[in-house]
Amino acid sequence: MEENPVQPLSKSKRKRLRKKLNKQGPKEDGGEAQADLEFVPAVQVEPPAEPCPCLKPQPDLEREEESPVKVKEPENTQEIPKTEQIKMDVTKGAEMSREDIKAARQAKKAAKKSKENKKPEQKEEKTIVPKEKAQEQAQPKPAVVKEPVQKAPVEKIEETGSTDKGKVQQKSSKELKEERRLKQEAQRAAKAQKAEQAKAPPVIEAKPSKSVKAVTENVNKPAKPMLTGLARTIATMARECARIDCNPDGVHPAFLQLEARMQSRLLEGSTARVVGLMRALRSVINDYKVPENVAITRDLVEHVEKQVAYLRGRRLMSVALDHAIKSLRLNTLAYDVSEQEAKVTVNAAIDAYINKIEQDMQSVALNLAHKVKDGALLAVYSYSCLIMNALKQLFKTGKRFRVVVVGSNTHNGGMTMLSQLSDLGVECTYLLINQVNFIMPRVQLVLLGAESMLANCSMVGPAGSAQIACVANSQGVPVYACCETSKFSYDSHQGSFFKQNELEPEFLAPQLKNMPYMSQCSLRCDVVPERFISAIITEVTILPCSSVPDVLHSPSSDTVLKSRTT
Amino acid sequence: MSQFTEIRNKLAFNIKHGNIQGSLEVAKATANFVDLIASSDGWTVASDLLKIVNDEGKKLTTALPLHATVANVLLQLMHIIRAEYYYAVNQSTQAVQRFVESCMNCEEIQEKKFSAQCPGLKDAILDHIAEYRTELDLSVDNITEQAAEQIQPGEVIMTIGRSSIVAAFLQAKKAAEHLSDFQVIVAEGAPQCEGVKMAELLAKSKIQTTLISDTNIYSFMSRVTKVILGTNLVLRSGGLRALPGAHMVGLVAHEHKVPVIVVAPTYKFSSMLSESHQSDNETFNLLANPKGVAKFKDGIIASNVKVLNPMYDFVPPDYVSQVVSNIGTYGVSHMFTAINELYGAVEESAKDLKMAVV
Repeated sequence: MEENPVQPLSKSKRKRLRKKLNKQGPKEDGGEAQADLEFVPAVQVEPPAEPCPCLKPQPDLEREEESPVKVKEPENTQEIPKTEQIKMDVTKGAEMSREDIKAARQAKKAAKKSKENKKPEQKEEKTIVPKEKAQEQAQPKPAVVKEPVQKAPVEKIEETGSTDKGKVQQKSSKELKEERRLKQEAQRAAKAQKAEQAKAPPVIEAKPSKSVKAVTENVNKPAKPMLTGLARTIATMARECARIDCNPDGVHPAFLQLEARMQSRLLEGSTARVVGLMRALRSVINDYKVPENVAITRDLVEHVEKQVAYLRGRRLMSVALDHAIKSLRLNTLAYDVSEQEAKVTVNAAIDAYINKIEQDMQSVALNLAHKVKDGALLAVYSYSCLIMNALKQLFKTGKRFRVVVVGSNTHNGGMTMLSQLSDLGVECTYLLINQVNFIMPRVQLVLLGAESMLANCSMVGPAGSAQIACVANSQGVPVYACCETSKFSYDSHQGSFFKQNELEPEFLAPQLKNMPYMSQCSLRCDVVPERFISAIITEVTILPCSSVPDVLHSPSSDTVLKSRTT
Repeated sequence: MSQFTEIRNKLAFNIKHGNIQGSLEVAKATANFVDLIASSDGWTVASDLLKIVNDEGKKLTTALPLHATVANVLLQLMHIIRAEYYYAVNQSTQAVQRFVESCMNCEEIQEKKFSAQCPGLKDAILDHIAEYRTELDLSVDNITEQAAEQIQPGEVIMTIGRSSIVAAFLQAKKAAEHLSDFQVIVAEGAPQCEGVKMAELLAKSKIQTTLISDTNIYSFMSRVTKVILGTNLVLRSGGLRALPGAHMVGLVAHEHKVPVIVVAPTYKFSSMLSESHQSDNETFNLLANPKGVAKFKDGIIASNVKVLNPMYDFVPPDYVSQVVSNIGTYGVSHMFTAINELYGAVEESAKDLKMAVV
């Protein structure tokens, strides 16, 4: 509708409409065509898609105070054609039968003639009609909503309409108000019912995995307060974390299992994850069958990339994993190689890589031995496979040291490290990260396991590493990052809010997750600035932080790793 | 068994078992207790009163080693008694001035005995104690009044754990200006994890809150404009004895050049000078039940290792920028003088309270 239907019309328009209606004359059946004409939309409801939207509401405007009453009047849904049933449910309150309008108009005319009567009387006359109708509506409405058009009530109203003409009752303004209220309530009830039916068809939901659900729920923000600043950053991160760009359909079960283990932190620490990935890849390769007429290299690369994309979509890919895949050099297999040969080659590459990792771990242990003196008190944070192995080696070679394991209450890494060390027989102490200041003056050196080293010489590690390094620095305790050169990355970012950083899937306070004005955030990784780290213990040698770019760009480095794609 | 034994025992019981909750309530209860002593008939000269308060105080603090507020209030009231005596004895204004100055300069006052008879001393002391108690009642209001100046629109504020004063401070700012759009980041504060409750409190007051894990404090600090901390004690040096993690927050804030504001009413000002060496000196830090650190289900591992759960954290005065209290806002370097006014010279207070000052 171009106009707000409730607005009063000009006199000329009113006259024109009245003429039109009078010309058409009364009809017995109250057909559809007329139904359109008599359309009077209710105030609250949006206008229906009527064939003639130019039609305006009935202009009963001599009594303007009653126009709201009139407009809400009546909803005889009897004339509504079945096809438009649902639409009409919306505007149920709006239809008036031709007879009713006629009756109303005539009643008004009569009232006008007897204008010398008091005003309330006039009002009464008009509202008689609506009142009757209101009563009728209140009854059949619930039934009418879904049922087909009923003809029976039409006659009823026609009759009453005709009889109403003669009635002139005295009513107080109170009763008038009552009637109006009744009508409004009836309309509201009808509207509510209609709304219920709209909701009735069940919402089809996908079934996300448990961890995804947890993160998506984090995205559910309150409607009212608009997020600004930090809360918005976190909400965006949460949304990105929840977004699954990957389809688990074509993914090998070994990778699905790998993803689950990584997500639940059964497989923790960079090195452990690489080994896990390699083993999963081995099963993938073994089960792989080349489709016909396809070059094996291309297809194999795509196949592997598909598996890896699943991990990437779940934000579990780290630098070390990336490099591992690239180093297999899947895209350099010869074109004419047979499936068997290809499998053998790739499996050999995988085995070689796993061996290399194990060798690297030994080398790191040897290098670490230079730094750890007998009787030293070391501090370690969270679980690192590399450091665990190194300490094991050291202990076996006879060095006696004590360890302070610093844990965090968000994940179990510290406890895992603690249990493995105490099984070895090392004298251990356990603290939470908040209390590390208590013990730091006594500690001789701090070992941090690195997720990767960035090209700007900072270290990416488990969340909390930056704080521990900071506290150690303030007390003059050296901090060593343990990282193989295969984890040196060509990326660099500043600060811990970077795209690949994940939010922990579990909430800090699950009972508060949907509270308005509240958001929760727990990042998994931390970037430790260069100035806190004294040296990096790699498998090659002990390097200062500033040497990271040199290693990355040295002539002997693996140029394959520089490329952005597999 | 003195006449106050039963009352004292009841007070200790109530505080210990949480019937009196929150440091403000504890302070009020202790002040009531001293008021009771002062208004009783058991003393005639100031030295008698001081002795009674000292004795009762010693037993009370021995029963409540974890509540530093009790010791603070007792010492502050004893200083008030001494001051009143001094004023009563030396009526001249210059003498009063001298007394105040000597306190601030950390000199020993001349008067040692406090044994002269002074008519009207009792009334004067009771008045002053009543004044002190009123100050206690108004302490939260006086602090929250300053919230509007301290917090600017668009700020991102970080805090750790739960402090009812800090919560009141932030809520007051929000209430004063509905549209002030500051945000708060609350670090959890393991092992108690009271940060969760704090975040809930703030979110209910329609302050945009973000709850983060303690491990992410460094990551978020670059976006923070102010750190507001609550504390257990403010030491004479301006350092703090606060909950674990406060040192880390202060240090990381210092790294990022973020100002640290401490919100502490006067009953949290302590006459302790410094922390001594925190891990050695038993009077500074306590090791609490390790169950917050290592869960029961990890008991098999935990039985072979030492699990530490220190209750407090020392924050050096270098990390603190200013202290907001009910008697005004102080820079850290002024804390020494401010505390001297409350307690008198170090030697005095250290002498009379050979209590277990924890």
